[in-house]
Amino acid sequence: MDADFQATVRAHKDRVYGLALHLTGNRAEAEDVVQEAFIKLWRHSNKVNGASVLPWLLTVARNTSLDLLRKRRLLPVNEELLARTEAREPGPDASLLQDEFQRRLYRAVQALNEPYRSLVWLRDIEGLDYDTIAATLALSLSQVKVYLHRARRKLRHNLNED
Amino acid sequence: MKIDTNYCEWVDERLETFLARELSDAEAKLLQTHLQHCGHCQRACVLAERIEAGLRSLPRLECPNSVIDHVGKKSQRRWPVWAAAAAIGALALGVSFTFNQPDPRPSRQELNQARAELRLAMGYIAAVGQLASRDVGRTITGNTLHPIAQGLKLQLNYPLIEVIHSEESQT
Repeated sequence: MDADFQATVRAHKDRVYGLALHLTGNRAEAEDVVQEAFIKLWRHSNKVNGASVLPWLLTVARNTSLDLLRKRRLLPVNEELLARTEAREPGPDASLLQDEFQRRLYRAVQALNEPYRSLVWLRDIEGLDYDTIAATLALSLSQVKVYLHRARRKLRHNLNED
Repeated sequence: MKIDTNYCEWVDERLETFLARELSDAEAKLLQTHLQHCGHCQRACVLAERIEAGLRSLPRLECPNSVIDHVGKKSQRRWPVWAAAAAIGALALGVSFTFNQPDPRPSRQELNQARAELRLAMGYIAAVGQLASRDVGRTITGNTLHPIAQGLKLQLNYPLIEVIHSEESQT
C-alpha cells in the first residue's frame, strides 16, 4: 500500500466498519465487508478519488452488507424485507450503551427499513453531510431530508409505543 | 384550551423538520403556538429532542487495526490486471504450443492401425478390380495396385502408407 492509500484507509475505516456492523449485526461479516470495500478501492484507485472516495466506500459496504443479509436469510431480493432486523445484539458493545433509553433507541434504529436505517446511521450517528449521504444512497438532497425526517418520526412513534 | 387533534397530526408530521430548522418561518410560528397549548405535542417534541440527542451520543464504532492489516497484505499481493492477464495469456499460449507440437514419430499403435486400414483398403480395391475386369477378361495385378496405393498415400498425406506398402510388397 502506498502512503496516500494508507491515509485514505485510516481516514475512512471506522465509518465503513460502523455502517457494515450496523447493517449486518455481525462483527466477522463487518470485517469482511471492510476488507472487500478497501480492496475494491485499491483496484479502482485510478477512477475513485477525492471527495468521491467516502461515498463510494460506503456504497460498496452497504451493498455488500445487504447482499450478505440476502444470502443469510434466503429471502428473495427485497430491500424492505431485508432491512427488517430481528432483535439481535447491538453493534456497539452493550456496556457502551450507557442507559436503557440508548439501548431502546439503538434497537429502534436497527428495526427501521432501508434506506431509513442507513440514513439515520450516516447522518445522526456518523454526522455525515447531506451531499455525501445523497451520493452514498443514490438519492437527491431533498429525498435525503424528507426520508431522514420520516425516519426520525418513525423512531419517535416506535419509542413512544414501547 | 381544546386540543385540535387535526392540528396535532399536522404538528406530528412536521416536528422533526421543525427541530432541524428546515420548516418555513410561517409554519414554524404556527407550530410553536400550538406547542404552547398542547401537552400531547409538547411531550412528542421532548421525545423527538431526546431521540436527536440520543442518536448523536450513540458510541461510534472503531475498526480493529487487524482488519486493515489484512487489506494491506491482500492489496500488496495483487497484480495489476494487465499483468495478470498477460501472465495467463502467456501461460495458455505456452501450454497450447507444447501440446500441439506434432509427434515426429508414429507410435506402434498408430502403425498397426494404419497397416490394418491399408490392408482393408487394398483388399477392397482388389475385389472391386476383379469384379470390374470380368467384363474385359483381365484381373487386377500388382502393377495396377501400385498407383492406387500411391494415390492413397497422396490423399492421406501419411508417410506410413509408403512404409506399409513396401512391407506389403515384400510379403
